Amino acid sequence: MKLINQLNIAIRSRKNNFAYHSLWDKLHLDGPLFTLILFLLICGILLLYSATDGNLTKIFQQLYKIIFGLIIMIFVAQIRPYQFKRWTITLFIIGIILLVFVNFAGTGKGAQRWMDLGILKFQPSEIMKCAVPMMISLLISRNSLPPKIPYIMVVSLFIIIPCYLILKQPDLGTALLILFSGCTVFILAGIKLKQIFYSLLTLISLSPLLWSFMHSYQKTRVITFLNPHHDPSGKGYHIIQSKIAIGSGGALGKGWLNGTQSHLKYLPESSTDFIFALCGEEFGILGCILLISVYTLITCRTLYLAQFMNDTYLKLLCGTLGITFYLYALVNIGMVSGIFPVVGSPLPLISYGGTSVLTIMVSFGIIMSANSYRKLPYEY
Amino acid sequence: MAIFNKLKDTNDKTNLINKRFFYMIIVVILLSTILFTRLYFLQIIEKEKFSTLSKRNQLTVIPFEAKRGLIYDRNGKVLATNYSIYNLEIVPQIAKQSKVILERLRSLKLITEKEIKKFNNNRYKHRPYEPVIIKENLTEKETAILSTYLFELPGIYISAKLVRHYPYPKIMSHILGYTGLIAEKELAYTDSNYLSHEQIGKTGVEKKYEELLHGILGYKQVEVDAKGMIVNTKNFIPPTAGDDVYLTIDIELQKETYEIMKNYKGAAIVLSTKTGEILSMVSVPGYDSNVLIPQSKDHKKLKEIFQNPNKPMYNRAINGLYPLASPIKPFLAIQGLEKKKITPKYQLFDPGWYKLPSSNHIFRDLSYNIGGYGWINLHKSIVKSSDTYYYHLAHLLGINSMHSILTKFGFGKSTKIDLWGESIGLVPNKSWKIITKSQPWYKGDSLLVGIGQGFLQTTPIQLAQATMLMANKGKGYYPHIFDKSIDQFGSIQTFEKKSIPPIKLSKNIYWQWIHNAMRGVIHEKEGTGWRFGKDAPYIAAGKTGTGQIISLHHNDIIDKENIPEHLKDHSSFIVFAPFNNPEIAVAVLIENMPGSALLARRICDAYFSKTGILKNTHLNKNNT
Repeated sequence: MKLINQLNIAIRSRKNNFAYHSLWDKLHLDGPLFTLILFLLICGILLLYSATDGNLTKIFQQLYKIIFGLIIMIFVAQIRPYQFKRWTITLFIIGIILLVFVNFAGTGKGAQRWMDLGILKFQPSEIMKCAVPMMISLLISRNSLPPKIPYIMVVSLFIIIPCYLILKQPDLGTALLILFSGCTVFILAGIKLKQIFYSLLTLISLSPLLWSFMHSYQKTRVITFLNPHHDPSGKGYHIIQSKIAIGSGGALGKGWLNGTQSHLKYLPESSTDFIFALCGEEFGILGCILLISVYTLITCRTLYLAQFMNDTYLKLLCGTLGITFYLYALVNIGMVSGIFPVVGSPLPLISYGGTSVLTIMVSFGIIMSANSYRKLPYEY
Repeated sequence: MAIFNKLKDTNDKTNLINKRFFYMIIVVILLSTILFTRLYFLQIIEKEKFSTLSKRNQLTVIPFEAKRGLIYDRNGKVLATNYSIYNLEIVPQIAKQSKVILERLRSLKLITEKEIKKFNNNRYKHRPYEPVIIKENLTEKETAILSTYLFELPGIYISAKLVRHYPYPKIMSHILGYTGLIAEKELAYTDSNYLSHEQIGKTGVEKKYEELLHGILGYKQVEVDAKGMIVNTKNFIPPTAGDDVYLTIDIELQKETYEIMKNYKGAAIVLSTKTGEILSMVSVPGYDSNVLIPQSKDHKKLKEIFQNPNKPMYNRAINGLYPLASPIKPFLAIQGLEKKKITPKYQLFDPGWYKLPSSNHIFRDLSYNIGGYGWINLHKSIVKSSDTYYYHLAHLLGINSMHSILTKFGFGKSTKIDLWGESIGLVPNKSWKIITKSQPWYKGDSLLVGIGQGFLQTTPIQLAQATMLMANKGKGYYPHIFDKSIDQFGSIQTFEKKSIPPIKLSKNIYWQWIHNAMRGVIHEKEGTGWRFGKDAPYIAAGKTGTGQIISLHHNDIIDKENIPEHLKDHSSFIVFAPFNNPEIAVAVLIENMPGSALLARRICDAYFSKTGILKNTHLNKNNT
């Protein structure tokens, strides 16, 4: 009874504390997180200005998308968290249907990723970036923690099916990231290190099988990663030029708008996937460290906020979304600096392109909503 | 209790997940550290490497060829010049619609389908700002048509390229050499002062003075983007033209020498005794050096040159190796006098053969002088060219002594002539024979050297040099062909002539005795060179020679008539003139033919008729 009393006091005190003290609270936003995101977005615009040689139409396009993204984030932040739980299954099913549909009727350069909705084109796989963590979190939080192995096996199906569909498009990068985001839920849910080790072992033993499923262009990417100088003007060109760009930047960089590698167009895709190389060239290691630090801080802040959430589903979901965000950044920076193979993945919040910004904004909206309402009992 | 359980469960779950969050934060920070390490490696440790790579990407150098220096004779007449040929070029960066432009050129009948195909095959081997030659060597008519339509053909240019031309192709071919496309091997050691398609001197003066003639490449440093388009120019350094080179050759004399020699195989050299300058040097047959220039493309003539059995490319004057033969006699006589083995009064009976005291082997007089000359002294031995006398002298001197004097006169070693690829020749001695033939030196070997045969080998230029030394009584300068060079700013660089280590004799009168004997060769009735001296308006001194090609075995009697052409005797003649104050030393050698004395006479006449010394020499003759 003593315990119940204590809990009652705790709940009451939380209720009392739940007051909209600041503007941030009124907007259901987290101040530090929002500032860091805004900082990244501004960096992105500055880098894009350099990458496009001051092409204002492109910059305004990106600005519109960013503003639209911010509005979406603020909008999502207002939604009460239990709504996410309610809509999880529906969203997942819609995502699967769209993926199946896009595999038959999609349009895109060589890969069937895009869906034309008339006004805007979007990739169904972007939905899955949110829907898969939501779905897995939901399934895991229903049962006791840590989850049992047989249950994990069953839940894994909900990761493997969308991943397979995305791999068929073919989009190896996104498929892998979604696979990782699903696995992150398991790790956060507390499966034992031994189990993680064994599953990694099986993954490695299954890799030859994966190899046989891969498209030839995906195979060449892996080969190129292993030996970029094998064919310097062809497949290895991207990595070599991006390493030259980063390396020649040195400590302080060549200065904004002075990067020769990007301005003379030696650096490919300098406004999208390889924008980090541009940062390395123009702002040196200082700029790079700043950028990586901001990514790290955002993730840590998300994990910190998730600590205080009451609901297991929201905890798992927010933690996973934060780590996935970091993973996107890690994969991109790792690829650009030549420690990972070239997988077409953008640098989150900085690369030119709309869909990825939208997805990330939605996920941050979810985090902020969950954070803002954490002080209320879940049912409210 | 249910609520309590639920709360406890939630609490456990929360703790478990929070613990994992804590681990994940550590993992995230660790991963970021890995990225930092990678960036530190790229941007701090390997910065220099990537900076250079970045610069190499960005900056390109466009070279500009330097104008090759001209070559003149001693009087300023042009021996090698440049003329322009016109090429049709396209710059793909400017000619964006190259298909249309090429089609237009084809309709103007300037280029053919084949040339368009060739261009399309090659176009991506070049960067877009690099001009690509579509057609080389336009005719005047084509150039005229093109210049009228040039305004409507963007990216099409007529470019001029300087090509070597030799106004005296056959006459000067061996001295000047020729230029050709630079070979990869040559490109390696040229300090990047050459382009891969440039001309470089291949032989002769063109090769020897390549450094002066070539000049220094100019270049333009430009910034280039990834597509190869020039973004801007950073630096321009104009090329430095090559120096003009003046030779010691007198082209008029050279022309006449060639005219005199052209029906023979052999070489003739006129050397100025005062300075060592080569006034004329001819190797016959000559070849047309203009054919060898890459732009000429006259394959038929090229084939003729290379397949000619007389080897016109072979510079007989400095590369031809011949037996020294009788011209050796005055030089050995000098040593005989110096070593006191003979005196002018010493007499020897010449039966037409010689036999060593210790053996029965008979050495014949190679001039087929059956019966011999009877009693002869030193003077007569040179005038009549007695082999017997010199067999005996060789026996008296021994090989070491002969080797020493011949080397002093420049035989068997380089004349340091400033032309490419001189042959050294050979003066044998004991150790040479042991090393190369693994045989001891026989006394008989010495005897053969004594008459200039055997292992002895010499080049015409060595012969001329030795004649000069004889004329100057042991002094003289190394023969050379370079007079001076003038660079593009007009500053003159003259040749630094080097004197040959002088030959000193204990008594100067020895020289006089030998000179007199050599004058006798030409001006006495019995002299072997009487053909030269016939009606000579000046006094000269010389020595004839007949070079044996087939070695004689013991007592073989050779049927003179039936010797195949290429084994017939060579005929050589050395002469210096005027006798009292020598100006020129001449060496003439013709292969497989007699008659070099007359050729030498005509060459000397050609020289003296130009210099006007002819009259003075007349007076000298009357005085003596």
